[in-house]
Amino acid sequence: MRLLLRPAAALTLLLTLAAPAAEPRVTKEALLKNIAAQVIVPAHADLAARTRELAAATDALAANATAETLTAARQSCAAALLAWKRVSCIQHGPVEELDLLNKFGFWPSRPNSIQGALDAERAMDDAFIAEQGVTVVSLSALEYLLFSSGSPSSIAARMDVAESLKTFTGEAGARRRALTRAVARQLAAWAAQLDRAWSPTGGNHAAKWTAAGQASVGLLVNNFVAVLERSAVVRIDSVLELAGAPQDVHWFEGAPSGHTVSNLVAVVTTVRRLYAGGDGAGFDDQLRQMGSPLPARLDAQFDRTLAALNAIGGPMEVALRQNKPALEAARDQCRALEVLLKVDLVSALGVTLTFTSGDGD
Amino acid sequence: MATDTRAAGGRWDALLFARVDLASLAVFRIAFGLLMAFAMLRFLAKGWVREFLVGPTFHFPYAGFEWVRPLPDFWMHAHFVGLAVLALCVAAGLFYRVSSALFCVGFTYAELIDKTNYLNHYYLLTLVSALMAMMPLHRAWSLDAWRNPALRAATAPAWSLNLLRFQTGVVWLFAGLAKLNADWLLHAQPLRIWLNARSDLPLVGPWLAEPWVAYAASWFGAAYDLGIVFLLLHRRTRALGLVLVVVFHLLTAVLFPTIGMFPWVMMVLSLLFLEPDWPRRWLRACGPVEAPAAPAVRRPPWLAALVGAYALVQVALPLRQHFTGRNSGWDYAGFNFAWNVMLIEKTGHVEFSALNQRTGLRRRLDPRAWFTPRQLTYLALDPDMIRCAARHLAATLVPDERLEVLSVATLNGRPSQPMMSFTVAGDGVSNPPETVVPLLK
Repeated sequence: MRLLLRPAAALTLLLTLAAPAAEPRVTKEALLKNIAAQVIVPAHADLAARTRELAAATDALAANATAETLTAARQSCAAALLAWKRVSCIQHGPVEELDLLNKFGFWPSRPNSIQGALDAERAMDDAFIAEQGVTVVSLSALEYLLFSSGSPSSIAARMDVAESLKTFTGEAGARRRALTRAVARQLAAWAAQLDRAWSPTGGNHAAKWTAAGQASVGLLVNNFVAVLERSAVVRIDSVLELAGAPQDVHWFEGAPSGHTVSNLVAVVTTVRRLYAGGDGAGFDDQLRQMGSPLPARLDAQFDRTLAALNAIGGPMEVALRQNKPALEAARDQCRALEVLLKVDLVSALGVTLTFTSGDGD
Repeated sequence: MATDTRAAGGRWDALLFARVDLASLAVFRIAFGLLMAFAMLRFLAKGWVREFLVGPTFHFPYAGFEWVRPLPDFWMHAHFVGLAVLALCVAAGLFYRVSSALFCVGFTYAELIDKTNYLNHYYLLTLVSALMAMMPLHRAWSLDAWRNPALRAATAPAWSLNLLRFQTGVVWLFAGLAKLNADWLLHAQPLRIWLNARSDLPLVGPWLAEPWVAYAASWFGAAYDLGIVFLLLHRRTRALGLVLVVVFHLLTAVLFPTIGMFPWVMMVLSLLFLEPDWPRRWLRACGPVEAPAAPAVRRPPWLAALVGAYALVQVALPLRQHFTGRNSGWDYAGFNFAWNVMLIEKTGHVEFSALNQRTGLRRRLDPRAWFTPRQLTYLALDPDMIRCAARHLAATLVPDERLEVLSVATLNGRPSQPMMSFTVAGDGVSNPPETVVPLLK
């Protein structure tokens, strides 16, 4: 027995000395909990609030189509679009389970389908709305309804409230008002579902997500990369490819509501907040703890990217004609950010990109 | 001198032609066959036949094996069912020679379809199954021996056991040698990244985020790989070696679940280092065991040359990466087939754009239209695969277009840096340059 006592005491001493540091460290659980509490849950709550306001504004528009009610509905729609852009950076969990990614984020809108719904002779009731696909019931369709004026290519005409109001008034406008209201209500209902699923007082997916540890880190980082690539880099690239071709604002995401650039800023800002955990513990803190120089590089790149996006200085469809170098610079900065996230961050966090299964040795 | 030569010749003769108890090899055959059957069924159950082999519209071929194509979906699945059945036949010792040879050919065929699927332990399975097909492992405890008593034997020529031991030792030793580098020993990379990623494990998780744990694991890992063969070869240290094998490989299985079958393959191979008669001794404890007479020893003159040549190739292949003067984890020159097991954390990104030389317009190609996400992940790491993808994409361009390729990667926690940057004419015949940007220290 005595023979065992010494080695046991030595082992205990060794383990005590080598025990994980006593000073507060950013654990994975803590940072995930913080990201959920500071960024993800508030983003979903915000989308629910914005779409509720949108539903209320389209109710008012349906009841009385005036320049004021149309303007209010447009403002609410623009706010909801930006709120969705922020939520769209989290592409797993409830949004995937409820199959809402495409329903909310469907783009570009399909004017023919929307016109088909407007021209249909059936009553604009719940059954009719339930039968419509994402080409009619989506945020981009609602943006089209609120911002179109029959002049498809002219941004000025789209923004002209008086011109657009004509499509909402009179007998012909009744069906447009009803469709606008029905789509907004459906979007609000979906956003409320999403919000409930994440909320600690609802489905509390946040707790499940936090408990999943590295799997959630992997999902989130994969989402960063995918969203930044598809919503920013590819989006600007495809706009640049339009140079010299006939341009229709239809091909610029957010153009009808004048949010082509603020959409991108919303994405980059949200990716940054998700990465940094808002104002609390985030991946940057974990990396600093590991002695990695990556947080400083990423911070600088986020700053450069946001500065380049803001330097575009106006709608992308205008910048394409008048300030193409600014668009190219923004694309280059977004691409540099994409590479830092996709290569350096993924590697530093030991994340498996693309989540394809398979062994590796 | 003549005595020394004779003594060396005698040792070599004993290593090859002495008779060793067949029992341990028979148990190894059974364990390996069962493990392979499980591995094939696992491959099927995970949907990898479709995802890795049938699904991709383009496959990255090995040089000289461009003609290897996947079978249609149904037949590719049937192929893996067949491999599982063959593996069971190997385990049972039924039509052993044919079964083991067909398993080796069939498994190697599946491996050769796409470079993306290269794994060190798949390569090891090919080698081991090829060796097994040439060995008389069915002469004991097999259905073949039960059906044909004339086949029965209690012993096998020593080269069977020693060659399998050598092959196993090569894996461990070269895996250990590959770890003798600054990243592994001085920076504890990539274990620092990988262990930190597992810091959410219950109980041990917080420890895994500690830098000293990564250093300790790196040094222990290198020492284990370099020393385990010697521990297993010596009778006095064998028990310790076996305990280490089990503990080490179980730990890797828990910490790195994506390592797949590798730990189990190595645990089964470690059985070869036990005394050749260990199963018979175990069974003898349960009752008398019949030990048939040994067949006459044959000494085919070509066998020594063949074994020697095989050993030479197995040593030369992993060594070639050390003579390039570059980091093979970066440019992949000689990286595969060299037992670089769990050695690097490399992540990459590659962009393909088509530049119209007439209009000056550039369009970014979406490689997902040609390659699967898994292929994209791996091609971004391997300059050869990038060149292969570039040749394929260049052939799809319209006249006046050139393909621009830019790849960026990071190795073992270094800041990302360009790995390749080149253009290829869109004629579908031009070859991309071989230049890889040197790795910054």
